[in-house]
Parts: sequence; C-alpha cells; structure tokens
Amino acid sequence: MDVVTVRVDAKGLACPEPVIRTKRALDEIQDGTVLTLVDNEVARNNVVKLAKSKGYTASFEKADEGYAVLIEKGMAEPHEEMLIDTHDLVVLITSSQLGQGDDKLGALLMKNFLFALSETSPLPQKILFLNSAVKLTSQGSDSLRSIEKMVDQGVSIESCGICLEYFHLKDALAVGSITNMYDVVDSLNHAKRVLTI
Amino acid sequence: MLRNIPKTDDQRILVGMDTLDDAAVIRIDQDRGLIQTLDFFTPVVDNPYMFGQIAAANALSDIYAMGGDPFCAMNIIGFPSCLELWVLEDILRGGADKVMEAETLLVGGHSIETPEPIFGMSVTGFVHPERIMANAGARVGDVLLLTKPLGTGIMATAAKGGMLSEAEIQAASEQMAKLNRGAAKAMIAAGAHGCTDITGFGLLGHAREMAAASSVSLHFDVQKIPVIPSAQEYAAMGLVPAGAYRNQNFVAAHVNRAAAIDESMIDLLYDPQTSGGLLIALAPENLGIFEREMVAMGEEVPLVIGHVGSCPAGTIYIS
Repeated sequence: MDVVTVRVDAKGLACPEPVIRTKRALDEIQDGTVLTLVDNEVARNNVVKLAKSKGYTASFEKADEGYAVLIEKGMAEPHEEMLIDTHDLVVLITSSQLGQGDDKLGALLMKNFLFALSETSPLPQKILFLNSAVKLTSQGSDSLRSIEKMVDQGVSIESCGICLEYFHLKDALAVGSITNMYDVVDSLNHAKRVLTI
Repeated sequence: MLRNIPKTDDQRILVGMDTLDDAAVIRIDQDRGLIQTLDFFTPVVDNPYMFGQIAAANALSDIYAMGGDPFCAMNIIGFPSCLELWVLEDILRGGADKVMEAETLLVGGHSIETPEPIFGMSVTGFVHPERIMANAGARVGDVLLLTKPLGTGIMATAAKGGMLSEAEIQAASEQMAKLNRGAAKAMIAAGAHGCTDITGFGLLGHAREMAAASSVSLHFDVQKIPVIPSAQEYAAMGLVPAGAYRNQNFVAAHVNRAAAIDESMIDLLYDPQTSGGLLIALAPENLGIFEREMVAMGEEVPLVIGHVGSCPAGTIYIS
C-alpha cells in the first residue's frame, strides 16, 4: 500500500463517529490518502458512502478486528469502480454443481472451480449465485473459505433472495449480500464480460 | 424468539401476536375492542421536553394506526442518578402536554434507575371490533399513502455527528412530535382498508409486514415518497444508522427494486423511523374524501405513493 497521508482509528467508536472523523481528515488534506480502521460492516459501508459522495475513490480490505478503508483524494479523474482491482468480469453461477452427468462429481468440480477462481488474478468484479448455487454461499457449504478469500479482496458476492427463500436458506446466508432479479439483470447488462457456470 | 411464548386461542383476542400488528386488540363487548400498546426508547434529540413529546406521540401512534381512540396512558421512565432532576421534569412535561393534546388521560407511571434516560408510555384505547385498521386489511387495487416524510433515523445520526443546523433539528423534531391523530381521523372517515404506522423497521420493513399479513404485493413509486429535506444528502454521506442495514438484511429478500434507484434513496426506505407517519391502504374512489378530511383537519394532503397488487403475496416492488 502507498504511504498514507492520514490514519483514522475509528475502532470502538459509536456511529456516526467513523464517518465524522473520516470526513474531518479528508477536509483537512489537499490531496493524498486517508486510511480509516473500523470494527464493523455498518461503519465500513458508511465510510465508503462518504467517500463516494465526495467523488473520491474508496476501497477496503479485511484488517485485524475489522476493515481498513482506503480513500484517495485529489485524483485527476474520479474512478467509477470502488474495488481494489478493477475488473470487467461478472460470473453467474446457476447451480451448486458444475456440469451434468454425476451429482457427486458436479459438487466436487464446483468446489475446485471456486478454489481455482479464488487463486487467479485478476479476480472477477462480482459473482452472482442463482438457483441451487445459493447453497454455495450458505452455512455448511464447503466452498465458503474460497468465497471469503475473494470477498477479502473486494469481490462482490451476491445471492438471489427468492432462491434462498425457496431452499429455506434465508437465515443461513454465510457470505455476501442478498440480491434480486432487477440487480442481476443490471449487473449482467453493465458487465464487459459475463461467465455463466 | 417469540416462538417460545405459549400461544392462546382465546377468541376475544382480535389482533394478537400472530399478525405483527401495531397493537393488540381484545374484544370486551359487542361494540368495543380494547387496544393496548406500549413503546419506550432512549433519547433521539437533545432537548428533554421535545424528547418527552416525541416519545408520547410515538406511543400514541400505535392506537391511531389501529383506527382507534386513545383513552388513558401511563409513563414508563428510566433515569440515571447522575443527571439533574430538571431534565426528567422537562421530559415528563413534554410527555404530559402531548397526552393532553391527544385528549387522553395520563393516569400514572413507573420509574427505575437506568444508565441512560428511557421514556415512553403504555397506552390504552378503544376501537369498534368491526372497524379495526389492521395490517392485514390492504386490498388489491388500493392506493397507498404515507402521512409523514421519511428520514428521521438518518437525521438523528447526522445530529449526533454535529452536522445539523438548529433549524434542521427543529424541523425533524416537530415531525416526530406530531400526532397521527388528524391523519387517523381522515382515514377512518374515508373508510380505509388497512393501516400501519412507520417506525423502527422503516417503510420497507413495515410495508413487508402489511404485504405479508394482507397477502398482497405493495408497489411504490420512489418519486412520490415524501422525504425530510436534506435527509437524502446525509444518507449519501454515510450518516446511515445501523438499524437501516439491519432492516435491509431482514427484508431485502422480499424487495424488488429498479436498478436505477440511488443507494441513498434505498437507505431512506430502510431508515428506521421514530414516530413516523401512517401507511394507509385506501380504495382509490375514496381518495377524494380522504384528501378533503385531511384539509379539514389542517393536515397536509399526502401524495399517493403506490398501490396494492396481487402477486406474489408478501413482496414489495420499488420503481
């Protein structure tokens, strides 16, 4: 990581202190970077929103006891992507198994696929999980480690809400967020490349 | 967690814990249902008198949301020993004044020592058993109206961060302290089918409750939804309370939204409200009566923000 201009330790601070302190730090510098440390997702999301509202680039990664949000001020052009690595690939996974012919083999292949995906570079921008693929992002899935590794590097993981409901997994989602069909179509429309599994 | 409370089949309970409604209604005779509700919380504004007003309005709101008239109320008080007593006096005065405005009897209360101030009320009211404005009453084809603007959670967060001017704090406080009495009278006169007040679960959380209880879908037009001025700006800046994210996690699976809607607007729709307005489901042919009654009550006439659809039951659509 580049040298940070200002470091804000907002761990243990009640809402909205993380946003307020980050805003203060950003207002005080002409240009440079602010690194804000938070200990919960709400604070992380809010600090990212703050940066976005000012047109700055923001990215985050997991850090000890929480997240480190890096904001860059004073860039020549505001970036559109908020992820650490910008990518043009959206992966659409439509089943908990990869391929047809044998269920056990299919499950194993999917596990290996997600592992291999988590090890490559560049990573996709987003992975969408539809139909039985939501089993992969739920508690008990043996692909959670691979998926979490990708979340830590800024990949967006989204699982279809209706599908989770259908498989009675709504309360068992273990990684990423819930999405709906409008957002899925929107993501596919805006992606430069789409890989459907 | 409510699963573990033993259920009862007592036929006198007209509205109980099953339909997630605003208050309980128990039939006491042919023409009267008893409404019981209680609400309390920690301070949402710095001014103790306003806090009392807001907490009282909030507690009374559940009675209005059921289509009833409040009858009597009792204070629920928690107060720390380290705060000066004049603070508590002001809170109680604020609450008492609001109860009087609602023409309701304040008949007592209870207090304990707590690490931070808590205030609210237990309220009893009456409603005719056949005219309860339940969550479960919305009908396909109804129009949807919202009688107060959204954004009090975000404004409270912005206030905590020292971002609001006195005028903004005052305006938001007045919204929260306003009784839903006038709106309730208007909706009863217009024969509304169903109603719920918008509080901690946000518009979408309470809309989901109404959609599920009524077995309908609710469709909202984002352009028409009233919002406290500058609340969306503060939401965009990240002054979004944790409760908004909780509400989103809880309800998002049932919400379908057009991709073009700004994230800050979505935050407003999930923003937990304090003493919010009424979400009313009304037959479109009665809209004229409702608007006339609102004017007669001295209330602002709200825009129609959506309509009730038929499928799938329990879902929300935002465009």
